[in-house]
Amino acid sequence: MKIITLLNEKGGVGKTTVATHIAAGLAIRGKRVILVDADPQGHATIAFGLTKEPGFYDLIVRNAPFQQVLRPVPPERFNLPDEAHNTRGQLLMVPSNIETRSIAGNISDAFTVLKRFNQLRNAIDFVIFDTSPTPSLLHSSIYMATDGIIYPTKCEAWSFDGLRESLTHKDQFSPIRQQYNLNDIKVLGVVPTMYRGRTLEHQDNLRRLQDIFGELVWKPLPVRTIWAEVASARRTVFSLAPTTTTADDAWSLVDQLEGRIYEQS
Amino acid sequence: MSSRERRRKIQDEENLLYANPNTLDPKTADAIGFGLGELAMEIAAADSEYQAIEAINIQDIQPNAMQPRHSVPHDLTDIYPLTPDNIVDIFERWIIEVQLEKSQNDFDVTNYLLGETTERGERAEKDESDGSSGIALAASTKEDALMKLVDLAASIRRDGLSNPISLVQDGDRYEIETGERRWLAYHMLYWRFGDGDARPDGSRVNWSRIPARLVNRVDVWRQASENNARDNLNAISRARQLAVLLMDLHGWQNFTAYKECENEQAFYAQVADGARWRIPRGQGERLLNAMGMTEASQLRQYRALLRLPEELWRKGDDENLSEGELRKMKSALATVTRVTKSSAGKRKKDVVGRLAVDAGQWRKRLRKEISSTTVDTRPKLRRLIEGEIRQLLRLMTELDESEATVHSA
Ligand SMILES: Nc1ncnc2c1ncn2[C@@H]1O[C@H](COP(=O)(O)OP(=O)(O)O)[C@@H](O)[C@H]1O
Ligand SMILES: [Mg+2]
Repeated sequence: MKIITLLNEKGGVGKTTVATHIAAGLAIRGKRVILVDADPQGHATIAFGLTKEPGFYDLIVRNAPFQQVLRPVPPERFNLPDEAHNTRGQLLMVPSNIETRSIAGNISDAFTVLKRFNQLRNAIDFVIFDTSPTPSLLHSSIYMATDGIIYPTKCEAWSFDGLRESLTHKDQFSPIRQQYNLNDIKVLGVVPTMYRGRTLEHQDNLRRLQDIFGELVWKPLPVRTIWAEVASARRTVFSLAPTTTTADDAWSLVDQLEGRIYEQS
Repeated sequence: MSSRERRRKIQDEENLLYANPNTLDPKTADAIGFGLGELAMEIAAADSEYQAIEAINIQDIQPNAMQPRHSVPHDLTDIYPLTPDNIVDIFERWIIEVQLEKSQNDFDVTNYLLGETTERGERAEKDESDGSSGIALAASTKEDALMKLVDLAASIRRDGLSNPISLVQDGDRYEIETGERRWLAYHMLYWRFGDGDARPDGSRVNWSRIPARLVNRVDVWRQASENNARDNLNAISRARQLAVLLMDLHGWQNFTAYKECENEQAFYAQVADGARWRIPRGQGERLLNAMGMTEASQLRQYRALLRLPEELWRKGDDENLSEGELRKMKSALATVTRVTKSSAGKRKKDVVGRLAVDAGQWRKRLRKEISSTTVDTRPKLRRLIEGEIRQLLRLMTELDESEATVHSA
C-alpha cells in the first residue's frame, strides 16, 4: 500500500481535481484505491456525489469500522461510459464534512492516521489524501502517514510562496520520521495547474518552477472550462468527456504518478 | 459532443442511477456495495482485528494469575494477594522492606517519580516497549524489583504510555492479558499523584485510567510473543511460560484450574513430566519460536525447573537466578538433603567432597568472569558472588544442623 497526499497551503490550486482524477485513473487501471477527503469543505466528496456522513472524523475519532465509513464510488461516476460495468479496480472514499475540522483536537498521537490505514495494508493498493489548505494537527498526522506528496500549484508568481511553505513543513517531519524508522517522504511531483501556455507570464513562471524543482515538475495541466463542468456533474473527465484532450491531460497525471512510483521502487 | 448534449446525457444517467429500486435515495445509493466482493471481506476482516483504545479504570482491572512474569516479590504477595484493593498496602509494605534492607528509614519513591530518568529507567522503558533490551538480568533484591517499577512509572509520567495494555472484559471487570507492570506503574502514579497530575510538559493526567485495548480472550501465544519480544523473563518465568504453552497444546481440560492448585508452582508443575506431556507432533518448532529458543534441550532444561523445591523456585524468581544456577543449587540442595537423611559417616564424606568439587567449579567460573569484567558488569559480579556466598553458607548451616540431628538421634 502506498499513501499519497495532495498538498498546498493555498486553496483553489487544483488539489481536489488532481486527487480525484489520480484516484479514479488508478482504479480504472485495476488498482484498489481509497480517496480520503481530509478537507472539512468536502469538495472531493461532493465531486463524486456522495453523502457526507459518516466521514473521516467518525473513522479517526469515533473509531467507526471501515465498513461503515468507506463508500464505494459508483463506476458510472468515474470510469469511461462503456466500461463502467467491468471496472477492474475499486474506488472507495472516506467522505468529509464539517466535523473533519475537529479531528485535530481529538487525536491522541501523531500516528493515529497511520495506524488506522495500516489495518488495510494488504487489502488496498493506494490511499490518496486530499487535504485542506489550512495547516493543522491533522496535517501532522498525515505527514507521519504518507509515503509521498504531490504539490499542485498555479503558475502565478505568488503561488510559489505557498509551495515553499509546504515544502519546509514537510522537511520539519524528517527527523521525527527518522526517529521512528519511517522512510523520508518522497516528493512525487510539482504539478503546474490551470496553465495558460499562450501567456508569457505563465511560460516564465513555469521556467522558474523548473529551475527550482527540475525533474520534479510534471507536465502542466492546461486551463480548460470543462473542469468546472466535470465537478458540477459529479463525474470525472474520463466519464464525462473521455475523448477530449482534457481527458488525455488527466491520463497523463496518472502516467506520471505511476512513472514516479516505479522509478521509486 | 456539445456541452448541452453532455448535460442531457448526465441527467439521464443520474436518473438511471437513482431509478434502481435498490437505491431509493442518494444515501443508500452510495452506501450499497457496488460489487465489492472479496475486498469487502478483507475490509471486514481488518475491522474485526481492530480494537479501539479505551481508558479503563485501574481499579476495575485484575491481573491474570497465569501471567508468567511476577513483578512483585513473593514475600509480599504471600501477605497481600495481587488485587487492586491490596496494591497500596503492597507498595507501603514494599518500601518498609527496602528501608530495612538498606537500613535507611527515609527511603521514598516520590523523588524518583518526579525526577529525571536514571539509566535503569531507560532500560525499564525499553523492556516495556521496543524489546531491544539485551541487558542480562542481574541478581535482584527487593529494592531492585521496586526500582524497576518506579523507573517504569517515572518514564510513563514523563513520556506517556506508548504501548497500551491489553485486557479481556469479564462482566464489568477486566483481566490483564499483557501489561501487568504498566498497570502497577499506573497504580503507583495514582497513589502518589492522584487524578490531576501536572506532567513535566505541562499537560494534566488522570492516573486512575489506563489506555487499553480490549481483546476477546487471553491468548497465551500472544502473551508469550510479547514477553519474548522484551527478552527479560527470568528463568522461572520462562518455565511458567513453557508450562502454560504446553497446557494450551494439550488442552486445558486436562489440568486442574489455577485457583484450585495448592500454590502457583503446583499449577505449572502439572506438565513437569516430559514423558506424559510430550510436545505434540509438529508443534516443536512453534513452541521453540514462542519461547525464543533454538534447541529442544533448552525446553527440557526449563521444563525441569518446574520440579524445583519450592524455596528454590521462589528464590530463583525473586532474585532472577539463571537456569544454570538453579540447576546447580538444586543438585547441591539434593545432596544436602540426602546427607541429613543418612547417618553413615563415609557417605557424608563423599558428599562433602562433591560439594567441594561444586565449589571448585564455581571458583573457576568466577575467575573467568572476573577476568572479563568491566566497570559496567562489576555490580552484577558482586551480586553473583554475594548470592553464592549466601547460598554456600546456608548449605553449611544445614549440614551443621543435620549433624546435630544425627548426633541427638
Ligand atoms: N486545469 C484547470 N482548468 C480550469 N479549471 C480548473 C483546473 N483545475 C481545477 N479547476 C477548477 O478550479 C477550482 C479549484 O480547484 P480544486 O481542485 O477544487 O482546488 P483545491 O482543491 O486546491 O482548492 C475548481 O472549480 C476546479 O474545477
Ligand atoms: Mg480542495
